[in-house]
Amino acid sequence: MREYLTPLSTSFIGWFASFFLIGLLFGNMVFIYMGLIPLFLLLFGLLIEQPREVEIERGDLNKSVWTDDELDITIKVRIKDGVGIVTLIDELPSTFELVDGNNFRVLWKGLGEKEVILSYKVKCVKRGSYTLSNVKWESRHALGLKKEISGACNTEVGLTVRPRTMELRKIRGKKDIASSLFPRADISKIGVSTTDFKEIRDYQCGDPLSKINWKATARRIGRGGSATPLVNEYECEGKKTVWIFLDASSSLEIGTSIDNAFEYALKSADAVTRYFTDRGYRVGMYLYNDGEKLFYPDTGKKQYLKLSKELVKLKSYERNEGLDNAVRKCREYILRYNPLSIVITEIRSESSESLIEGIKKLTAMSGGRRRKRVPIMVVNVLSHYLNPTPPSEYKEYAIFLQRTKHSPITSKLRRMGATVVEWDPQKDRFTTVLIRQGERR
Amino acid sequence: MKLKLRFPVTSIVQVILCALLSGLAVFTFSKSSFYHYFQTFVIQISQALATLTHLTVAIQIIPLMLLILILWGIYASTRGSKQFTTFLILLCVPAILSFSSYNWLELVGIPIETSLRLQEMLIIAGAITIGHISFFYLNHFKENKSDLLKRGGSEDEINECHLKGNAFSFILILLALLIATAVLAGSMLLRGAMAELTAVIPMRMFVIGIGASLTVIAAVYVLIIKWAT
Repeated sequence: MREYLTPLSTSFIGWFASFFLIGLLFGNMVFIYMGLIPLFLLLFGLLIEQPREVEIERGDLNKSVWTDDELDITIKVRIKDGVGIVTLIDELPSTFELVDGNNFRVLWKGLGEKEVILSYKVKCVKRGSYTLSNVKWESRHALGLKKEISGACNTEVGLTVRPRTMELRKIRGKKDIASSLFPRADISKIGVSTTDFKEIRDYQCGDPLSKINWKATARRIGRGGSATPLVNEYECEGKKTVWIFLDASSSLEIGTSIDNAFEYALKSADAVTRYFTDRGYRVGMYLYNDGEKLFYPDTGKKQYLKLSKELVKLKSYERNEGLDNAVRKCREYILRYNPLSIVITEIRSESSESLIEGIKKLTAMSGGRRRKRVPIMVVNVLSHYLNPTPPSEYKEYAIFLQRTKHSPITSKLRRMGATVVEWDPQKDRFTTVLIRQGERR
Repeated sequence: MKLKLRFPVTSIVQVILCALLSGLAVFTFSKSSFYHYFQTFVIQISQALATLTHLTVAIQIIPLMLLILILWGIYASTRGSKQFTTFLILLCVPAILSFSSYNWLELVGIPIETSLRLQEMLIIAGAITIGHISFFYLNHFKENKSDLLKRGGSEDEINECHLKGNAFSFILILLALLIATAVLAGSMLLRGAMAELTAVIPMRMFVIGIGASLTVIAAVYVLIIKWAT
């Protein structure tokens, strides 16, 4: 009984019993009358049931969204019986931000059947695979005489929040000796042309006559430009391979749970993957410090989706595998494809040894120091400014000291022939940093 | 320090209700013979205080202290305390006891009387009882609202629910009062017919009657439990 009735009902019973007894003892009608009021109230109250049959259905839901997208969630509620207050709780993952409406609703259920459609809007601020759990309900007795009843309706639904891809523009380097690491800048002489248009360029010795774009050439001459013919350039098959080494260490998680260096590392990895797969490159990936996950190099959208899916659900780990071990595990592929290696990490003194060792191994595998610049790029995600503490003079000094501490490592990597891209996500866009890097000599 | 009322409307209703109940209880108490004892007691105390402190103002302080006590009680009641309304019921007890058939207190030499009529007393008793229950509910809704607000509910939605909930419970309280009154009126009508029968009931039968009543109460209690579960 105590599991079912509230203290209010037991106090009513007690009240009735005491007044009734006193009334009998004194032969007092007034006391009996005073005892009858709570008794009848209790009896009426117990006759009225609180809502027990609640049906909840979710409306149409977009199950795949991009980060920072707003998602409309609609819930159809049908309360069949009872009288009382019904609360509905649609628990959201912690990284969802409520934009409009409320996921905790309070309804009054009167005597008739009640049907309502509730909706609210959330913003998905962090990538990942989420589950919108069952909508829970609780019903309270109209007079507070019975204990709360709770239940849940089967409304579980999966939801994927994909990281919004950072659009990388074409990174063009000056046509010179390895001014850019991006293979796009290298003119490929070998390979079958595809039908994918790349650009119009000046005729070069050896270009077939069928490639000349006569209309464009005539137009240029008409404007008083050079008489050199213009040719259509098409994308070639059999492009270079890009190999991404992504650091999944938890030490990258500096900042808030939503805005941290690890998230930016993932975003940059996603952007690089998309950029190269869109242009027909083979892209492979190895997630180091994360249980040795290796993805074979492949081309096309399928490969991008495969890698993107993995990035969506990727979590950081407290392992310390190190880049040197990662390179050792990927040795076979690096030797076979001789790829452009992109290491996405944060340069930290504690992992600097393995980073330097890994770059050394990569350099050796990609032809050693015979080349002035080896096809290795280290993307250093600067996390100093992501620290959520408010800006202050001390914070600035601390950042300065941190950068000073890490600058010998960066210099050493550069001396080894690797290109080090320092990216401060708070300050610059990833594309801007890459363009700046492409222009550097 | 800013005085912040979390539930202004409910608190105002509670203050008004509490003031009315206090007035009613004090009025009922003043109409009972106990008031005379109380008055004598208070005068004696104030006179003693005046003698001790050489202050004639002590007599004037007593009503002020009573007023402060009532105001404090009203404040405590709006904060969720049930003691003050229970105290108000206790103030009515001397007057109610004067309508007893078996006045046990008179046996120990405490005469209990009131100048109120039975009908008046019943109205006051009903008012005090529904006032006390209403207080229960107003506090209950306050707690409910506070809980729902803490959990992130929208204030407008909660207010709407509580308005409907309050109206519903008020209707039920009135219904309970009406039925109790009907039962009482019915029994009063039957009293005349039963008078001859009750006159011949000996004392031992009366005791048996109490026992039977206790059994009925227990049976009702058990029935309610079974019903509820």
